[in-house]
This record gives sequence, structure tokens and C-alpha cells, in this order.
Amino acid sequence: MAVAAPPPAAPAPSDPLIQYYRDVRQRNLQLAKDRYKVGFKVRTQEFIRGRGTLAVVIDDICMGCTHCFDNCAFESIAMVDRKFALPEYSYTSRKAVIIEENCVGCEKCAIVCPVDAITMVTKHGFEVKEGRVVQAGAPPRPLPVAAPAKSAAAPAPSAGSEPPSGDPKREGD
Amino acid sequence: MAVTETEYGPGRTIPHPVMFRVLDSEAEDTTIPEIKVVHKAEVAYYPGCVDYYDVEMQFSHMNYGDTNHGIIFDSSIKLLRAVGIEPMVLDRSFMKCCGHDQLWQGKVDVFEKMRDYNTRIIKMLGVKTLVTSCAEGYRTFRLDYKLDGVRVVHITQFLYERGLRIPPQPETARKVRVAYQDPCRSCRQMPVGAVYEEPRELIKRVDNAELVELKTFRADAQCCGVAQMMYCNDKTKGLTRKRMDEATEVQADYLLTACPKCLTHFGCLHHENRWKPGEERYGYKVMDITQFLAERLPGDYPTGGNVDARRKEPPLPGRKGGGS
Repeated sequence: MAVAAPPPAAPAPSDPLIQYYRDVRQRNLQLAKDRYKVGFKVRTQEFIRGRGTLAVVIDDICMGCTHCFDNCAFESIAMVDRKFALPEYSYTSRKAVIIEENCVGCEKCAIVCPVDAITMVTKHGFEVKEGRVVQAGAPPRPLPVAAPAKSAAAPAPSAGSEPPSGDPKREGD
Repeated sequence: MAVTETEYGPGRTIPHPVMFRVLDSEAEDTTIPEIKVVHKAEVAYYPGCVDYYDVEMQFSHMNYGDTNHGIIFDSSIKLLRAVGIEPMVLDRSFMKCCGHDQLWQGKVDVFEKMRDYNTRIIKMLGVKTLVTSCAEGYRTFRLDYKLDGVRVVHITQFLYERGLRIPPQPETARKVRVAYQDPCRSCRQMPVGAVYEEPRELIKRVDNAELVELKTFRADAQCCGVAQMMYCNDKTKGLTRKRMDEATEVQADYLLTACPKCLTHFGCLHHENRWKPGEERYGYKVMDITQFLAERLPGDYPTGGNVDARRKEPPLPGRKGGGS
């Protein structure tokens, strides 16, 4: 049935077709790995250094449902009892508290919060520019990748000590 | 992507795996490279993103070494050769992702870029029949692309109509019970050309395999739990578990599927529940239907297979990776 039918095809790449299939296969395997290298780097950097954002709980809205506490992957949310005093009476209520050292700004708590009591703010040294979080003082996004890398490096050291290549957002996508 | 990134909605709120970044970034560059196809044919095989799944699974430590997606590529080539077809491989060095995930996540602009690019390449190479081994690719190429004059078939349909014959298995081979999971994309979400019969007919052609139906099947079939790679949490894992328990109930030896994503999610849970070597929750194997059929054919994989020495001993799940 097979047109070129050498069933023990393993040691016989003499058939150009089999050679073709093998080349394509190996090229694809390598391609997938190569293309992933960029993604690895971005995600690792994001997880280690954070995205430059921080979660903030608004106490008035938080109802202490512990959804964010359950969902935080970095153990950066604690549930504490807080005392509140109104003119008539006082009461205690459970609220979420962000442990800022651990927060990487993954937004997961803000997503799961049923009453939207968690908002994301930028960390110190970051700012929102053109709808994305960038390091404060970083040069604007260069349009071509290669050309303005040198020219943009000139105003950068005055504003921030970080080199422009250290911004994970711009390497990412 | 900077301008088109939505501030709210699913595209924003769901933490994406690295794979989406990689696939999205493919759409950025739409210049057509110089394509050197050594073997041109009217039948083209599109493997999809199987290699990317492997790398993604390795990176996220989900089921490294346990589920082999790349074998779908190898098996499909072997099966197509067995029915006398020497396909041209539309590989990822010049094709892009079919854009299924992007479309279903609402990133329509990214999808349209991929669609236009892929359509141009397919027209340019003069493909008459596009064979895909991925249920999502089948749906996307058939419904969401406008490929006039190109026949898009799932590989099970193609093998069925070409009359794939599985030679008799050796006497020593024991009877196996095989369950088939209908992927939603190639079955109940296809208004035309739903692939219900063909995989079942192909399984019946293996003489030592007995086809058993799961509790829900065909158009009723329950989802594998996750659509695409959208999200993974306890709810989706619960759905996956429910589906895999159905296979345990019918005492299946193999749980087959025709969709690499189903394979990912089943394989993930299958790996997680293999706590110790002898204490598996799920005693059956999860694999793609092409792999199941190709293993029953004589001969080697013409593509050489994706041999990775580390694959031979998959680590047990857990932080330590089973070591010590």
C-alpha cells in the first residue's frame, strides 16, 4: 500500500521522503523550543520581580469572604479581625490585608474578589504609560527594535538606574 | 498588541500561559518567508501546535514526560503513509497557529492576522486537501477560515475514506477495552461534518480492541473540562475528573481522544493522580487516537519520533518531582 515502502525505516534515510519528514520534524521540535525561550524569560522575570503593580484592599467594601486569601499563590494575603466603632455600637469584622513584600501584582485576588474590593496600584518606581505599567523614567517604547536602542539609552541614565533592557514588559510582547 | 490589548474582559483577566504569548507574537510578523518545500503534494498535513504543548507542559511542570503530544505528528505521518499518501507537511517554520485559541478568547484581530497569513500560504502552495490531526484545527480551518477549493478533513475522516487497514495483531496481544472521548470542537460544535463515526470505525478495525462507550457520548459527550488552555482551577479539574471517572466505570484500558487539548487536560490529571507507582487512580492509558492506531501498525515512525532521553522516566508529581 505504501508507495515507498521500506518498513524498517529507522536506519535508512536514503529515501528522500523519509529524510524530508525527519528534517521537518526535527526543525519543528527545535523551533518550538527556540520560540519558547523568550516566553520563559518574561514569565520568570515577572514572577521574581513582579509586574510593578500591587494589590490594595478597600476596607469599606471588603466583606471578609476569604476568596482572595484562598487564591493567592504567594501567601501575600492575610485575614485579620479589625475593630470598627460607629456612634451607636462597635463591632469586629474580618478583612483582607495585603502583605506587600510578597505581592507580585498578579491580579488574581482582584479577579476573584466578588465585591471588587481589591484594586491594583503601581508600585514605587513604576508608572502607567500608554495603558501599560512601565518603570518610571523609562524611555518611551521604541518603534523599531534595533535602531533607537542606542539613541534611547542616552536619556535613560538620568532618570532611572535601570537599563532599558531590564523592563520585562517591553521584551515580552 | 499594545494598542489592541483589552483592559477588561477575558483577554485581560485570565492569566495566560506562556504559550499564548508565543502564539500571539507569531501573528505580529506577517511577512511571508521564502518557503522551500522539498516535497510538494496536493495533500497537506497540518500538525498544529503539538510541539508547543510539550514545551508548555514541561515548563509549567504539569505532566512532563507523561503525555507526549509530539507523537501525534509522528503517528499521523505514519498513518498517512500507510494509506498511500505522501503528505506535504505544513510545518511551523512557515505556517502560524490556526488561531483557534485567539478567536475563542476574543482576540479577533490576532486571529484575523493569522487567518489571512495562513490562507495565503495554503493558496500559494496549491493545497487541495488539508488534513489536520487536531480537532480545534479542523473546526477552525473548516468553519472560521474561508478556504474555497480546499477540502479540510480531520485525519480520522481521511483514514476512514482511504480505507486504513490495521493488520491482525499478534496472538499474544490481549483484548483491550477502548473508550473514545468526542472532542467538542470536532463533534457537537460542528454544524456540518461532525466526526462521530469515523474514529469509532477505525477503532473497531483493530482486532483486539473493543470499543466501549462512556456514560455520555457523541453529541451528549461531556467536555474534558477546559476549553482550549483557558483556565485551570478546581472546577475544571472536577469536570476532568468526572469525565475520567466515567472511563474508570466502563473499565477502559485506553481513553482515546482526537484533540491534543483534551489529551493535555486528561494527561495532566492522569499524571497528578499517579501518586505512587502502583497506586494509580486511573489504571488506563490516555492517548491520542492517531498514536493508538499507529502503534498497531508495523514499522517505525518515519519521522524518527521525538526521542528525549528524559522522557523515559517521567517524574512523579509533586514539588520534589518524585526524587528521593
